[in-house]
Amino acid sequence: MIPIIQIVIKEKLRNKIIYVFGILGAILMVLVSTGDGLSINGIKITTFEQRVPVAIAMNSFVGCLTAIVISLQTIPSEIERKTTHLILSRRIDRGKYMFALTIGNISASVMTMFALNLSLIVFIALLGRIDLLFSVLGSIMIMNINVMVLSAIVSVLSIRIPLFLNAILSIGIYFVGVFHNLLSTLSNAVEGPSGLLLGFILKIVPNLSAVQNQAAGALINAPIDFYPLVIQLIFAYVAITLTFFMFKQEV
Amino acid sequence: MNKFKIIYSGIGIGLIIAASLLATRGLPEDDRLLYDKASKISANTIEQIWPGLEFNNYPMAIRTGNKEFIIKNGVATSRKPVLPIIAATAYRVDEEINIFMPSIADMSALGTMVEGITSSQEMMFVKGFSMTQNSLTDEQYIGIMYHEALHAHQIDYHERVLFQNIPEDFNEYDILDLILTIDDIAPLKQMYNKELDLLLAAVINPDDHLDDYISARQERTQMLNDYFGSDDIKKIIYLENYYEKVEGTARYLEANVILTLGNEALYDEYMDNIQHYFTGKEKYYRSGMGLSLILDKLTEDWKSEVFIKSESMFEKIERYASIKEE
Repeated sequence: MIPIIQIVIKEKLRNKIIYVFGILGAILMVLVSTGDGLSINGIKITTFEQRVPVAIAMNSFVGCLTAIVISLQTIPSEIERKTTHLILSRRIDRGKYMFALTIGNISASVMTMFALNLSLIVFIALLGRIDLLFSVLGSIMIMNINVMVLSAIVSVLSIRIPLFLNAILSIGIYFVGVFHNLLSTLSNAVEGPSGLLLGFILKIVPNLSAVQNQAAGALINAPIDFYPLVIQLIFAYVAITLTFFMFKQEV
Repeated sequence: MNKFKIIYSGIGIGLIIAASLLATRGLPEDDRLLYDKASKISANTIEQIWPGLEFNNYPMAIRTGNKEFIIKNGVATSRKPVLPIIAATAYRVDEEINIFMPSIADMSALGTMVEGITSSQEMMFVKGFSMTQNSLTDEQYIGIMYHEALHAHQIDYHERVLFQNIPEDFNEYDILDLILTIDDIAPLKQMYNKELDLLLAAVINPDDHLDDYISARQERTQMLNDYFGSDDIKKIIYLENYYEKVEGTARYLEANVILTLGNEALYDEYMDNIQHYFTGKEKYYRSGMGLSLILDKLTEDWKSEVFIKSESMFEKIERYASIKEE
Protein backbone atom coordinates (compact mmCIF):
# COMPACT_ATOMS: atom_id res chain seq x y z
CA MET A 1 0.00 0.00 0.00
CA ILE A 2 2.76 2.46 0.90
CA PRO A 3 4.29 2.23 -2.60
CA ILE A 4 0.88 3.01 -4.16
CA ILE A 5 0.51 6.06 -1.92
CA GLN A 6 4.00 7.18 -2.89
CA ILE A 7 3.20 6.74 -6.57
CA VAL A 8 0.14 9.01 -6.28
CA ILE A 9 2.23 11.70 -4.58
CA LYS A 10 5.04 11.39 -7.10
CA GLU A 11 2.46 11.66 -9.91
CA LYS A 12 1.24 14.96 -8.48
CA LEU A 13 4.81 16.18 -8.05
CA ARG A 14 5.56 15.19 -11.63
CA ASN A 15 2.54 17.21 -12.72
CA LYS A 16 4.21 20.06 -10.84
CA ILE A 17 0.87 20.89 -9.26
CA ILE A 18 2.43 21.29 -5.85
CA TYR A 19 5.09 23.66 -7.20
CA VAL A 20 2.43 25.69 -9.02
CA PHE A 21 0.53 26.17 -5.82
CA GLY A 22 3.68 27.05 -3.95
CA ILE A 23 4.19 29.91 -6.39
CA LEU A 24 0.49 30.84 -6.20
CA GLY A 25 0.78 30.99 -2.42
CA ALA A 26 3.75 33.33 -2.76
CA ILE A 27 1.79 35.61 -5.11
CA LEU A 28 -1.21 35.64 -2.75
CA MET A 29 1.16 36.40 0.13
CA VAL A 30 2.66 39.36 -1.72
CA LEU A 31 -0.80 40.66 -2.59
CA VAL A 32 -2.08 40.38 0.96
CA SER A 33 0.98 41.68 2.75
CA THR A 34 1.76 44.72 0.62
CA GLY A 35 -0.12 47.82 -0.33
CA ASP A 36 -2.83 49.78 1.42
CA GLY A 37 -5.75 48.54 -0.60
CA LEU A 38 -6.93 45.77 1.70
CA SER A 39 -10.02 46.53 3.71
CA ILE A 40 -12.79 44.50 5.23
CA ASN A 41 -16.20 46.00 5.97
CA GLY A 42 -14.80 49.44 5.27
CA ILE A 43 -12.02 49.07 7.80
CA LYS A 44 -8.48 49.18 6.41
CA ILE A 45 -6.27 46.23 7.19
CA THR A 46 -2.84 47.61 7.89
CA THR A 47 -0.88 45.62 10.47
CA PHE A 48 0.76 42.30 9.73
CA GLU A 49 -1.26 40.59 12.47
CA GLN A 50 -4.46 41.69 10.73
CA ARG A 51 -3.25 40.39 7.38
CA VAL A 52 -2.31 36.92 8.62
CA PRO A 53 -5.89 35.62 9.05
CA VAL A 54 -6.77 37.06 5.63
CA ALA A 55 -3.80 35.22 4.08
CA ILE A 56 -4.73 31.95 5.79
CA ALA A 57 -8.38 32.30 4.80
CA MET A 58 -7.43 32.89 1.16
CA ASN A 59 -4.96 30.03 1.17
CA SER A 60 -7.55 27.78 2.77
CA PHE A 61 -10.08 28.66 0.07
CA VAL A 62 -7.58 27.92 -2.68
CA GLY A 63 -6.27 24.84 -0.83
CA CYS A 64 -9.72 23.29 -0.42
CA LEU A 65 -10.64 23.83 -4.06
CA THR A 66 -7.28 22.37 -5.03
CA ALA A 67 -7.91 19.30 -2.87
CA ILE A 68 -11.10 18.78 -4.85
CA VAL A 69 -9.27 19.17 -8.18
CA ILE A 70 -6.41 16.87 -7.14
CA SER A 71 -8.74 14.18 -5.84
CA LEU A 72 -11.31 14.26 -8.65
CA GLN A 73 -9.25 12.54 -11.29
CA THR A 74 -6.83 10.18 -9.59
CA ILE A 75 -9.03 7.11 -9.31
CA PRO A 76 -11.00 7.61 -12.56
CA SER A 77 -7.67 8.06 -14.43
CA GLU A 78 -6.34 4.80 -12.97
CA ILE A 79 -9.50 2.98 -14.04
CA GLU A 80 -9.49 4.58 -17.48
CA ARG A 81 -5.84 3.74 -18.10
CA LYS A 82 -6.64 0.18 -17.03
CA THR A 83 -3.68 0.22 -14.63
CA THR A 84 -6.10 -1.18 -12.06
CA HIS A 85 -6.04 -4.47 -14.00
CA LEU A 86 -2.28 -4.64 -13.63
CA ILE A 87 -2.56 -4.09 -9.88
CA LEU A 88 -5.50 -6.36 -9.23
CA SER A 89 -4.12 -9.21 -11.32
CA ARG A 90 -1.23 -9.30 -8.83
CA ARG A 91 -3.81 -10.30 -6.19
CA ILE A 92 -3.56 -6.99 -4.42
CA ASP A 93 -6.77 -6.45 -2.46
CA ARG A 94 -8.91 -4.04 -4.49
CA GLY A 95 -10.31 -2.34 -1.39
CA LYS A 96 -6.80 -1.65 -0.13
CA TYR A 97 -5.84 -0.38 -3.58
CA MET A 98 -8.65 2.18 -3.58
CA PHE A 99 -7.76 3.02 0.02
CA ALA A 100 -4.13 3.65 -0.95
CA LEU A 101 -5.13 5.90 -3.86
CA THR A 102 -7.36 7.87 -1.50
CA ILE A 103 -4.60 8.26 1.09
CA GLY A 104 -2.33 9.37 -1.76
CA ASN A 105 -4.86 12.04 -2.72
CA ILE A 106 -5.15 13.23 0.85
CA SER A 107 -1.37 13.35 1.28
CA ALA A 108 -0.92 15.29 -1.97
CA SER A 109 -3.69 17.72 -0.98
CA VAL A 110 -2.14 18.34 2.43
CA MET A 111 1.28 18.87 0.85
CA THR A 112 -0.26 21.37 -1.56
CA MET A 113 -1.86 23.23 1.34
CA PHE A 114 1.54 23.48 3.04
CA ALA A 115 3.09 24.63 -0.25
CA LEU A 116 0.46 27.38 -0.44
CA ASN A 117 1.22 28.51 3.07
CA LEU A 118 5.00 28.12 2.86
CA SER A 119 5.46 31.72 1.78
CA LEU A 120 3.48 32.93 4.78
CA ILE A 121 5.57 30.82 7.16
CA VAL A 122 8.85 32.00 5.54
CA PHE A 123 7.65 35.59 5.69
CA ILE A 124 6.88 35.30 9.39
CA ALA A 125 10.27 33.72 10.09
CA LEU A 126 12.10 36.40 8.07
CA LEU A 127 10.26 39.15 9.95
CA GLY A 128 11.42 37.53 13.16
CA ARG A 129 7.84 37.15 14.35
CA ILE A 130 8.46 33.84 16.10
CA ASP A 131 5.60 34.76 18.45
CA LEU A 132 3.22 34.33 15.51
CA LEU A 133 4.90 31.31 13.99
CA PHE A 134 3.52 28.61 16.28
CA SER A 135 -0.02 29.95 16.27
CA VAL A 136 0.05 30.24 12.45
CA LEU A 137 1.39 26.69 12.11
CA GLY A 138 -1.30 25.45 14.48
CA SER A 139 -3.96 27.25 12.48
CA ILE A 140 -2.72 25.81 9.18
CA MET A 141 -2.64 22.30 10.66
CA ILE A 142 -6.23 22.66 11.81
CA MET A 143 -7.30 23.98 8.39
CA ASN A 144 -5.72 20.88 6.86
CA ILE A 145 -8.53 18.86 8.46
CA ASN A 146 -10.91 20.46 5.95
CA VAL A 147 -8.52 19.57 3.13
CA MET A 148 -8.36 15.95 4.33
CA VAL A 149 -12.13 15.64 4.65
CA LEU A 150 -12.80 17.11 1.20
CA SER A 151 -10.11 15.02 -0.44
CA ALA A 152 -11.46 11.84 1.17
CA ILE A 153 -15.06 12.54 0.16
CA VAL A 154 -14.16 13.49 -3.41
CA SER A 155 -11.93 10.41 -3.75
CA VAL A 156 -14.60 7.98 -2.58
CA LEU A 157 -17.25 9.60 -4.77
CA SER A 158 -14.91 9.45 -7.78
CA ILE A 159 -15.00 5.65 -7.62
CA ARG A 160 -18.65 5.58 -8.64
CA ILE A 161 -19.78 8.98 -9.86
CA PRO A 162 -18.89 10.47 -13.27
CA LEU A 163 -16.25 13.19 -13.14
CA PHE A 164 -18.45 16.14 -14.08
CA LEU A 165 -21.17 15.24 -11.61
CA ASN A 166 -18.60 14.60 -8.89
CA ALA A 167 -17.06 18.02 -9.50
CA ILE A 168 -20.41 19.78 -9.10
CA LEU A 169 -21.34 17.71 -6.06
CA SER A 170 -17.96 18.32 -4.45
CA ILE A 171 -18.13 22.08 -4.94
CA GLY A 172 -21.65 21.97 -3.50
CA ILE A 173 -20.44 20.01 -0.47
CA TYR A 174 -17.61 22.53 0.02
CA PHE A 175 -19.92 25.54 -0.06
CA VAL A 176 -22.51 23.94 2.22
CA GLY A 177 -19.67 22.90 4.54
CA VAL A 178 -18.25 26.42 4.71
CA PHE A 179 -21.70 27.89 5.43
CA HIS A 180 -22.64 24.98 7.70
CA ASN A 181 -23.04 27.02 10.90
CA LEU A 182 -25.13 29.67 9.12
CA LEU A 183 -27.30 27.05 7.44
CA SER A 184 -27.69 25.11 10.68
CA THR A 185 -29.07 28.20 12.39
CA LEU A 186 -31.31 28.80 9.38
CA SER A 187 -32.67 25.24 9.58
CA ASN A 188 -33.65 25.94 13.20
CA ALA A 189 -35.19 29.26 12.25
CA VAL A 190 -37.61 27.90 9.65
CA GLU A 191 -40.47 25.51 10.17
CA GLY A 192 -41.78 22.84 7.88
CA PRO A 193 -40.27 20.55 5.21
CA SER A 194 -37.59 23.04 4.11
CA GLY A 195 -36.17 23.21 7.63
CA LEU A 196 -36.23 19.41 7.91
CA LEU A 197 -34.60 18.94 4.50
CA LEU A 198 -31.90 21.46 5.28
CA GLY A 199 -31.32 19.80 8.65
CA PHE A 200 -30.92 16.41 6.96
CA ILE A 201 -28.46 17.78 4.37
CA LEU A 202 -26.41 19.38 7.11
CA LYS A 203 -26.17 16.08 8.98
CA ILE A 204 -24.46 14.40 6.01
CA VAL A 205 -22.21 17.32 4.99
CA PRO A 206 -19.07 17.97 7.06
CA ASN A 207 -19.01 21.16 9.12
CA LEU A 208 -16.04 22.94 7.55
CA SER A 209 -17.01 26.22 9.23
CA ALA A 210 -16.51 24.71 12.68
CA VAL A 211 -12.93 23.81 11.73
CA GLN A 212 -12.36 27.33 10.38
CA ASN A 213 -13.56 28.78 13.67
CA GLN A 214 -11.09 26.67 15.63
CA ALA A 215 -8.29 27.62 13.22
CA ALA A 216 -9.16 31.27 13.88
CA GLY A 217 -9.01 30.55 17.60
CA ALA A 218 -5.58 28.95 17.21
CA LEU A 219 -4.32 32.16 15.58
CA ILE A 220 -5.17 34.22 18.62
CA ASN A 221 -4.05 31.48 21.06
CA ALA A 222 -7.63 30.97 22.25
CA PRO A 223 -8.53 27.58 23.78
CA ILE A 224 -9.29 25.04 21.07
CA ASP A 225 -12.51 23.08 21.15
CA PHE A 226 -11.34 19.72 19.80
CA TYR A 227 -14.82 18.21 19.52
CA PRO A 228 -15.69 19.64 16.05
CA LEU A 229 -12.20 18.71 14.82
CA VAL A 230 -12.66 15.10 15.94
CA ILE A 231 -16.10 14.98 14.30
CA GLN A 232 -14.63 16.09 10.96
CA LEU A 233 -11.85 13.51 11.31
CA ILE A 234 -14.59 10.91 11.81
CA PHE A 235 -16.20 12.17 8.57
CA ALA A 236 -12.86 11.64 6.81
CA TYR A 237 -12.46 8.22 8.44
CA VAL A 238 -15.91 7.11 7.28
CA ALA A 239 -15.25 8.35 3.74
CA ILE A 240 -11.88 6.59 3.62
CA THR A 241 -13.45 3.38 5.00
CA LEU A 242 -16.03 3.43 2.20
CA THR A 243 -13.20 3.08 -0.33
CA PHE A 244 -12.84 -0.53 0.81
CA PHE A 245 -16.39 -1.29 -0.33
CA MET A 246 -17.21 0.98 -3.24
CA PHE A 247 -15.10 -0.60 -5.95
CA LYS A 248 -16.71 -0.82 -9.39
CA GLN A 249 -17.53 -4.43 -10.18
CA GLU A 250 -17.19 -4.02 -13.91
CA VAL A 251 -13.52 -2.95 -13.76
CA MET B 1 -6.75 -10.33 11.82
CA ASN B 2 -3.79 -8.60 10.17
CA LYS B 3 -1.85 -5.68 11.58
CA PHE B 4 -3.32 -3.11 9.18
CA LYS B 5 -6.91 -3.94 10.16
CA ILE B 6 -6.07 -3.79 13.85
CA ILE B 7 -4.41 -0.38 13.52
CA TYR B 8 -7.11 1.00 11.23
CA SER B 9 -9.94 -0.20 13.48
CA GLY B 10 -8.07 1.17 16.48
CA ILE B 11 -7.95 4.60 14.87
CA GLY B 12 -11.71 4.52 14.29
CA ILE B 13 -12.47 3.41 17.83
CA GLY B 14 -10.08 6.05 19.17
CA LEU B 15 -11.86 8.78 17.24
CA ILE B 16 -15.28 7.67 18.52
CA ILE B 17 -14.05 7.54 22.12
CA ALA B 18 -12.47 10.98 21.72
CA ALA B 19 -15.73 12.38 20.35
CA SER B 20 -17.72 10.88 23.25
CA LEU B 21 -15.33 12.31 25.83
CA LEU B 22 -15.18 15.76 24.24
CA ALA B 23 -18.91 16.13 23.53
CA THR B 24 -20.47 19.05 25.38
CA ARG B 25 -23.47 17.91 27.26
CA GLY B 26 -24.39 21.05 29.09
CA LEU B 27 -24.84 24.68 28.16
CA PRO B 28 -21.82 25.80 26.07
CA GLU B 29 -19.30 27.64 28.21
CA ASP B 30 -19.35 30.80 26.09
CA ASP B 31 -23.09 31.19 26.57
CA ARG B 32 -22.87 30.47 30.28
CA LEU B 33 -20.16 33.11 30.73
CA LEU B 34 -22.24 35.66 28.84
CA TYR B 35 -25.31 34.97 30.94
CA ASP B 36 -23.25 35.27 34.13
CA LYS B 37 -21.81 38.57 32.93
CA ALA B 38 -25.31 39.84 32.10
CA SER B 39 -26.78 38.80 35.43
CA LYS B 40 -23.93 40.41 37.35
CA ILE B 41 -24.54 43.92 36.01
CA SER B 42 -25.46 45.67 39.21
CA ALA B 43 -29.12 46.11 40.01
CA ASN B 44 -28.42 49.79 40.75
CA THR B 45 -27.00 50.30 37.28
CA ILE B 46 -30.00 48.72 35.62
CA GLU B 47 -32.37 50.62 37.91
CA GLN B 48 -30.86 53.84 36.59
CA ILE B 49 -31.32 52.74 32.98
CA TRP B 50 -34.78 51.25 33.43
CA PRO B 51 -36.41 51.45 36.89
CA GLY B 52 -38.27 48.33 37.91
CA LEU B 53 -36.55 45.95 35.50
CA GLU B 54 -35.39 42.82 37.32
CA PHE B 55 -33.32 40.81 34.88
CA ASN B 56 -32.67 37.89 37.23
CA ASN B 57 -36.37 37.37 37.92
CA TYR B 58 -36.92 35.81 34.50
CA PRO B 59 -35.61 32.34 33.60
CA MET B 60 -33.39 32.52 30.51
CA ALA B 61 -33.79 29.83 27.86
CA ILE B 62 -30.73 29.61 25.62
CA ARG B 63 -31.13 27.55 22.50
CA THR B 64 -28.19 26.02 20.69
CA GLY B 65 -29.15 24.02 17.63
CA ASN B 66 -31.85 21.58 18.69
CA LYS B 67 -31.07 21.81 22.38
CA GLU B 68 -32.42 24.30 24.88
CA PHE B 69 -31.03 25.11 28.31
CA ILE B 70 -33.11 26.94 30.89
CA ILE B 71 -31.21 28.97 33.49
CA LYS B 72 -33.20 29.56 36.64
CA ASN B 73 -31.73 30.81 39.91
CA GLY B 74 -28.29 30.37 38.37
CA VAL B 75 -28.76 26.68 37.54
CA ALA B 76 -28.85 25.50 33.91
CA THR B 77 -30.87 22.43 32.96
CA SER B 78 -31.73 21.10 29.55
CA ARG B 79 -35.28 20.82 28.27
CA LYS B 80 -37.04 20.14 25.01
CA PRO B 81 -37.16 23.38 22.97
CA VAL B 82 -40.40 25.19 23.68
CA LEU B 83 -40.58 27.30 20.53
CA PRO B 84 -40.71 25.61 17.13
CA ILE B 85 -37.95 27.85 15.78
CA ILE B 86 -34.88 29.57 17.11
CA ALA B 87 -35.78 33.12 18.16
CA ALA B 88 -34.92 35.95 20.54
CA THR B 89 -38.12 36.81 22.39
CA ALA B 90 -40.02 36.65 25.67
CA TYR B 91 -42.87 34.21 26.14
CA ARG B 92 -45.00 32.77 28.89
CA VAL B 93 -44.23 29.11 29.65
CA ASP B 94 -46.33 27.40 32.33
CA GLU B 95 -47.41 30.76 33.72
CA GLU B 96 -43.79 31.91 34.01
CA ILE B 97 -42.33 34.44 31.60
CA ASN B 98 -39.14 33.13 30.02
CA ILE B 99 -36.58 35.06 28.05
CA PHE B 100 -35.59 33.11 24.94
CA MET B 101 -32.18 33.66 23.37
CA PRO B 102 -30.29 31.84 20.63
CA SER B 103 -26.72 30.91 21.64
CA ILE B 104 -24.14 33.50 20.64
CA ALA B 105 -23.00 31.28 17.75
CA ASP B 106 -26.56 31.03 16.43
CA MET B 107 -27.19 34.72 17.07
CA SER B 108 -24.08 35.63 15.08
CA ALA B 109 -25.24 33.42 12.24
CA LEU B 110 -28.71 35.02 12.31
CA GLY B 111 -27.09 38.45 12.31
CA THR B 112 -24.93 37.56 9.33
CA MET B 113 -27.97 36.25 7.46
CA VAL B 114 -30.05 39.35 8.27
CA GLU B 115 -27.15 41.49 7.08
CA GLY B 116 -27.11 39.50 3.86
CA ILE B 117 -30.85 39.93 3.39
CA THR B 118 -31.12 43.60 4.36
CA SER B 119 -27.89 45.13 3.16
CA SER B 120 -24.87 43.26 1.85
CA GLN B 121 -25.02 39.83 0.25
CA GLU B 122 -21.34 40.27 -0.63
CA MET B 123 -20.38 40.69 3.04
CA MET B 124 -22.42 37.62 3.98
CA PHE B 125 -20.56 35.66 1.31
CA VAL B 126 -17.14 36.96 2.35
CA LYS B 127 -17.87 36.25 6.01
CA GLY B 128 -18.73 32.67 5.06
CA PHE B 129 -15.20 32.16 3.80
CA SER B 130 -13.47 34.15 6.51
CA MET B 131 -11.86 32.30 9.35
CA THR B 132 -14.42 33.31 11.89
CA GLN B 133 -18.09 33.97 11.35
CA ASN B 134 -18.83 35.55 14.74
CA SER B 135 -20.19 38.96 13.94
CA LEU B 136 -21.61 39.67 17.38
CA THR B 137 -19.66 41.19 20.22
CA ASP B 138 -20.24 40.03 23.78
CA GLU B 139 -21.61 43.47 24.65
CA GLN B 140 -24.18 43.36 21.87
CA TYR B 141 -25.30 39.87 22.85
CA ILE B 142 -25.78 40.95 26.46
CA GLY B 143 -27.54 44.07 25.23
CA ILE B 144 -29.97 41.87 23.31
CA MET B 145 -30.52 39.77 26.44
CA TYR B 146 -31.63 42.94 28.22
CA HIS B 147 -33.72 43.94 25.20
CA GLU B 148 -35.68 40.71 25.56
CA ALA B 149 -35.75 41.13 29.35
CA LEU B 150 -37.60 44.41 28.86
CA HIS B 151 -40.15 42.56 26.72
CA ALA B 152 -40.51 40.08 29.58
CA HIS B 153 -41.07 43.06 31.91
CA GLN B 154 -43.65 44.51 29.47
CA ILE B 155 -45.56 41.21 29.45
CA ASP B 156 -45.23 40.85 33.21
CA TYR B 157 -46.53 44.29 34.20
CA HIS B 158 -48.17 45.88 31.17
CA GLU B 159 -49.62 43.10 29.09
CA ARG B 160 -53.13 44.44 29.05
CA VAL B 161 -52.26 47.96 27.95
CA LEU B 162 -49.54 47.00 25.48
CA PHE B 163 -50.69 43.72 23.98
CA GLN B 164 -54.34 43.12 24.70
CA ASN B 165 -55.87 46.42 23.64
CA ILE B 166 -55.20 45.85 19.98
CA PRO B 167 -58.21 46.85 17.77
CA GLU B 168 -60.46 43.98 16.71
CA ASP B 169 -59.90 43.96 12.97
CA PHE B 170 -56.19 44.64 13.29
CA ASN B 171 -53.88 42.28 11.37
CA GLU B 172 -50.21 43.04 12.01
CA TYR B 173 -48.93 41.23 8.91
CA ASP B 174 -51.33 43.05 6.56
CA ILE B 175 -50.26 46.40 8.01
CA LEU B 176 -46.61 45.40 7.78
CA ASP B 177 -47.15 44.71 4.07
CA LEU B 178 -48.61 48.23 3.76
CA ILE B 179 -45.63 49.70 5.59
CA LEU B 180 -43.32 47.86 3.20
CA THR B 181 -44.97 49.66 0.27
CA ILE B 182 -43.78 52.95 1.80
CA ASP B 183 -40.26 51.85 0.87
CA ASP B 184 -41.30 52.09 -2.79
CA ILE B 185 -42.96 55.51 -2.59
CA ALA B 186 -40.10 57.92 -3.29
CA PRO B 187 -41.63 61.21 -1.99
CA LEU B 188 -42.78 59.51 1.23
CA LYS B 189 -39.42 57.84 1.72
CA GLN B 190 -37.76 61.22 1.25
CA MET B 191 -39.97 62.68 3.98
CA TYR B 192 -39.02 59.81 6.30
CA ASN B 193 -35.33 60.47 5.59
CA LYS B 194 -35.75 64.17 6.46
CA GLU B 195 -37.67 63.26 9.60
CA LEU B 196 -35.00 60.77 10.73
CA ASP B 197 -32.17 63.26 10.17
CA LEU B 198 -34.05 65.75 12.35
CA LEU B 199 -34.76 63.04 14.93
CA LEU B 200 -31.04 62.42 15.46
CA ALA B 201 -30.42 66.17 15.54
CA ALA B 202 -33.16 66.52 18.19
CA VAL B 203 -31.63 63.69 20.23
CA ILE B 204 -28.31 65.53 20.26
CA ASN B 205 -29.75 69.00 20.72
CA PRO B 206 -33.48 69.08 21.52
CA ASP B 207 -33.45 72.82 22.28
CA ASP B 208 -32.54 73.65 18.70
CA HIS B 209 -34.12 70.82 16.70
CA LEU B 210 -37.06 69.29 18.55
CA ASP B 211 -39.66 71.63 17.04
CA ASP B 212 -38.29 70.95 13.55
CA TYR B 213 -38.53 67.22 14.17
CA ILE B 214 -42.08 67.47 15.44
CA SER B 215 -43.08 69.52 12.37
CA ALA B 216 -41.39 67.10 9.98
CA ARG B 217 -43.15 64.14 11.53
CA GLN B 218 -46.52 65.87 11.43
CA GLU B 219 -45.92 66.75 7.79
CA ARG B 220 -44.94 63.17 6.94
CA THR B 221 -48.01 61.80 8.71
CA GLN B 222 -50.16 64.24 6.74
CA MET B 223 -48.52 63.08 3.52
CA LEU B 224 -49.74 59.52 4.15
CA ASN B 225 -53.18 60.82 3.09
CA ASP B 226 -51.88 61.16 -0.46
CA TYR B 227 -51.19 57.44 -0.70
CA PHE B 228 -53.42 55.57 1.74
CA GLY B 229 -57.06 55.58 2.86
CA SER B 230 -57.97 56.90 6.32
CA ASP B 231 -58.53 53.42 7.79
CA ASP B 232 -55.17 52.22 6.57
CA ILE B 233 -53.47 55.37 7.89
CA LYS B 234 -54.93 54.79 11.36
CA LYS B 235 -53.55 51.26 11.34
CA ILE B 236 -50.14 52.35 10.04
CA ILE B 237 -49.87 55.03 12.74
CA TYR B 238 -51.04 52.53 15.36
CA LEU B 239 -48.35 50.04 14.34
CA GLU B 240 -45.66 52.75 14.14
CA ASN B 241 -46.49 53.88 17.66
CA TYR B 242 -46.70 50.30 18.88
CA TYR B 243 -43.24 49.40 17.57
CA GLU B 244 -41.72 52.63 18.86
CA LYS B 245 -43.12 51.99 22.33
CA VAL B 246 -42.57 48.25 22.62
CA GLU B 247 -39.43 47.76 20.53
CA GLY B 248 -37.93 51.26 20.55
CA THR B 249 -37.68 51.31 24.34
CA ALA B 250 -36.11 47.83 24.28
CA ARG B 251 -33.54 49.02 21.76
CA TYR B 252 -32.85 52.06 23.95
CA LEU B 253 -32.19 49.72 26.89
CA GLU B 254 -30.02 47.48 24.66
CA ALA B 255 -27.87 50.45 23.60
CA ASN B 256 -27.49 51.71 27.16
CA VAL B 257 -26.42 48.28 28.40
CA ILE B 258 -23.82 48.20 25.61
CA LEU B 259 -22.56 51.59 26.79
CA THR B 260 -22.51 50.40 30.41
CA LEU B 261 -20.34 47.46 29.35
CA GLY B 262 -17.85 49.88 27.80
CA ASN B 263 -18.38 49.43 24.07
CA GLU B 264 -18.66 53.09 23.10
CA ALA B 265 -17.98 52.46 19.43
CA LEU B 266 -20.95 50.12 19.17
CA TYR B 267 -23.15 52.56 21.12
CA ASP B 268 -22.18 55.27 18.65
CA GLU B 269 -23.25 52.93 15.84
CA TYR B 270 -26.66 52.51 17.48
CA MET B 271 -26.94 56.29 17.75
CA ASP B 272 -25.94 56.82 14.16
CA ASN B 273 -28.50 54.24 12.98
CA ILE B 274 -31.30 56.46 14.29
CA GLN B 275 -30.98 58.64 11.20
CA HIS B 276 -30.77 55.79 8.69
CA TYR B 277 -33.79 54.57 6.78
CA PHE B 278 -34.38 50.87 7.33
CA THR B 279 -36.95 48.85 5.45
CA GLY B 280 -40.25 47.83 6.98
CA LYS B 281 -40.68 48.00 10.73
CA GLU B 282 -36.94 48.18 11.51
CA LYS B 283 -36.98 51.98 11.22
CA TYR B 284 -39.49 52.25 14.09
CA TYR B 285 -37.19 50.29 16.41
CA ARG B 286 -34.58 52.99 15.82
CA SER B 287 -36.95 55.95 15.88
CA GLY B 288 -38.35 54.57 19.13
CA MET B 289 -34.84 54.58 20.59
CA GLY B 290 -34.46 58.18 19.40
CA LEU B 291 -37.74 59.19 21.05
CA SER B 292 -36.61 57.51 24.28
CA LEU B 293 -33.39 59.53 24.26
CA ILE B 294 -35.33 62.76 23.68
CA LEU B 295 -37.68 61.93 26.55
CA ASP B 296 -34.62 61.40 28.77
CA LYS B 297 -33.82 65.08 28.22
CA LEU B 298 -37.38 66.34 28.65
CA THR B 299 -38.49 64.57 31.78
CA GLU B 300 -37.09 62.26 34.43
CA ASP B 301 -40.04 59.97 35.03
CA TRP B 302 -41.26 59.09 31.52
CA LYS B 303 -40.30 55.46 31.99
CA SER B 304 -42.70 54.99 34.89
CA GLU B 305 -45.69 55.97 32.74
CA VAL B 306 -44.78 55.07 29.14
CA PHE B 307 -46.26 51.57 29.33
CA ILE B 308 -49.17 52.56 31.57
CA LYS B 309 -50.67 55.28 29.42
CA SER B 310 -51.99 54.57 25.97
CA GLU B 311 -50.55 57.83 24.52
CA SER B 312 -47.76 57.18 22.05
CA MET B 313 -44.18 58.28 22.66
CA PHE B 314 -44.48 60.93 19.97
CA GLU B 315 -47.67 62.29 21.56
CA LYS B 316 -45.82 62.40 24.88
CA ILE B 317 -43.00 64.40 23.28
CA GLU B 318 -45.50 66.78 21.63
CA ARG B 319 -47.14 67.27 25.03
CA TYR B 320 -43.86 67.99 26.85
CA ALA B 321 -42.67 70.25 24.04
CA SER B 322 -45.87 72.33 24.21
CA ILE B 323 -45.63 72.56 28.03
CA LYS B 324 -42.06 73.79 27.64
CA GLU B 325 -43.14 76.46 25.16
CA GLU B 326 -45.77 77.74 27.57
